[in-house]
Amino acid sequence: MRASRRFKEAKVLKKLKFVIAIGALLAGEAQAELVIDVQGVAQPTPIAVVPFGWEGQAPAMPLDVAQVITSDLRRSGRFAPTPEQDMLQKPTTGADLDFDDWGFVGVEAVVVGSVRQTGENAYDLQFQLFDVFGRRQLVGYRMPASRGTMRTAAHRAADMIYEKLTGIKGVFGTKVAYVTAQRQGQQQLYSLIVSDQDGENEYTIMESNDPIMSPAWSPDGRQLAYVSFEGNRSTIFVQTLRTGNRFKVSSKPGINGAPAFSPDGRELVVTLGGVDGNLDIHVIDISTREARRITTNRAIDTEGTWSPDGRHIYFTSDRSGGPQVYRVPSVGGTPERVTFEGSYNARPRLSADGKRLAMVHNDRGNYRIAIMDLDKKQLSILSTGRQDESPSFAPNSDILIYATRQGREGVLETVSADGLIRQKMASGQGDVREPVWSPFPRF
Amino acid sequence: MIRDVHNIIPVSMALLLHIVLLAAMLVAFDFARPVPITPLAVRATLVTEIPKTTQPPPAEPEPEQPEPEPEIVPEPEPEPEPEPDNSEELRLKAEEEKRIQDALIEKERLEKIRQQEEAERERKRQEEADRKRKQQEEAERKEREEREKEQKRLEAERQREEDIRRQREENERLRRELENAARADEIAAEESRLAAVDAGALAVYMAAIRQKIERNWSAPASAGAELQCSVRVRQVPGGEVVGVTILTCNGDDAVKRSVEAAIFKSSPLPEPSNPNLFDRNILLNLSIRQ
Repeated sequence: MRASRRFKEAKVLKKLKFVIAIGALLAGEAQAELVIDVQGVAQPTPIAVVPFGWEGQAPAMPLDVAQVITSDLRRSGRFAPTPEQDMLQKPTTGADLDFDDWGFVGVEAVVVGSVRQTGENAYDLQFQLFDVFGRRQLVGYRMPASRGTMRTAAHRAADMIYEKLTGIKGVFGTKVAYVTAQRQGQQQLYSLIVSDQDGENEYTIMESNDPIMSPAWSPDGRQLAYVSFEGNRSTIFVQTLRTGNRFKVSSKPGINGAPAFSPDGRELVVTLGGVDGNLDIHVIDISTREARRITTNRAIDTEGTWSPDGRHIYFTSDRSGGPQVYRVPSVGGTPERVTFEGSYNARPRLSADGKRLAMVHNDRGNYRIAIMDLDKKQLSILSTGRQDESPSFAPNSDILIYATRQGREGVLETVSADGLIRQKMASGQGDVREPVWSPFPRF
Repeated sequence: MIRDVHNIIPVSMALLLHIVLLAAMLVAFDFARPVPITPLAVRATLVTEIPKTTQPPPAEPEPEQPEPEPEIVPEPEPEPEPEPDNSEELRLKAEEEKRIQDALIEKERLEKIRQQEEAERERKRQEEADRKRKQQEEAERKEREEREKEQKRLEAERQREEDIRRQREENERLRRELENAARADEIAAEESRLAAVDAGALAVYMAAIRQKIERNWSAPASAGAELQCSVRVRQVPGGEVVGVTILTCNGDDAVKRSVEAAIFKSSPLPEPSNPNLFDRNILLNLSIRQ
């Protein structure tokens, strides 16, 4: 009797245990997946630009294309190019590429290509970008080039690679305009210079012993507007780069300054002082030279710039005491204040996507470049200098160029809009100031 | 006896007449067309005996060759009266004796033939009987064999079914045993896993995976603060990544590529201290550190 009962108990226990086990298994099934949260940071992408193959008469190609692409990508700060000596293989076509080799050393993307001579001064530049872990081609192009356009073609290739891997349009094919001042005996020599965005290919647009100021690109990138003080009076010129021809847009008595093109390229927003010296924002029709006054305040209103949609003009005004950024409808109207943070916010420039406003901001006594997210009204400081000035967005809205002081001279720096990547730009002789980034080139 | 003897004469004469007629016909035939004659003559000889026998006609009649017509045989002529001459009488007597003698011989010969035929019939009957018997035996043998075969087949069938049944039972037993063992293993593994989870080993394992992927993730510039990607990763024991599926992701192609690259670059993923913590499926939620 007793034994039988114990046996029964054992049986029940066994059953119970079984049920529990099944329950545990089911619970295990329900969460048969580890859920892990991963937080990334923007890090340089490991990439390899393999030296390009060369087919031509000369022993070497006219330009080391891979070198140009590599330095473009490296300077962007978004990429960590593999040094040539660390490459396990150096294929020049996708067919010779071994994804495993590159994946083994942690390279995520590989660029291969070649330059082939097709005529006396005619070449075919071909490149392909491969995703190592996805084992596929991401982009591949062949471009005709001459000795003169080889560098431009290499920059274009870098742009396409950059865009594929970062999701942002590359700006390696764009240009930068800026003003330099050099001591020349007793006098200063001012130069208006345009160069590739990497500082290469500098050429002088205009030179003068009188100051040159405030260069501005036309939306098509073919013209520059600037202020010249030649003849001891301020004049706003528009000059066509290709021909060197220029014409006066405004040479009124008093101050003519701070021109900026409207998005359609037909008008300039300028600052005119008039005879009484009260600076106000005006819009000048380039073809008729007719000016209409936008602001009438007795305070200083200057440094106007258009929003990309053409509906507003942003400008600096000290109507509230210190300089702050305001905006006004481009057809005229009541200005509204845009910046409130800090005692000094000046020289506004908008990103091409219209989302961010760059300005010079007084940060505890230092003049620094800051950008404001126009939706979130959030200000972030990007530069670290004491006398930084003239911020200008690259056309991809992701990078800015500005002038900073190095010793007693101004030099150019670029910074990514997230503030993470800052690069000095080796360019210009003497004191370099007022850089402006060109629009995207039109091919 | 006398009748028999008398019969001999008309038969012989008929035979003679037949031969003459046949010869005439053959000669006539010869003119008509050249047919080999010998076989016909031979056959004529054989045919004469047919009306004599009471036997049914031979088993193999020759349908191609028309038999000589017995109807056309004319009645035998009455014998001329013997002359009462003594010498003649003696001669006649001798002739008569010779005739009787011949008849006797002929009778004997016929008797012999009849006996031969009888013997032949007997032999045939015997043979037929033998054949039938043999057939019977053969059939019986066959039937016996057939029965035995069927018996064997049924036996084999039964045996096979028995084997299958036994095999099934064996399999079922093995399956139950394995299942029980597996269940026991699973329970043990689950208990161990739960214990390890309690001990924080799971957190360590997950952190190791997280760190490795974060280290390998080069988030591109377009990855903004609002980025949210859910990615399913499949791994095999040892940590090798065998599949990456982006479930949802509000990033662009560059972001998605970077995520895939980060995961594959992290292969093999770290292994847990307790193997029971290993999981083939991992769900990663990726975002950008602010």
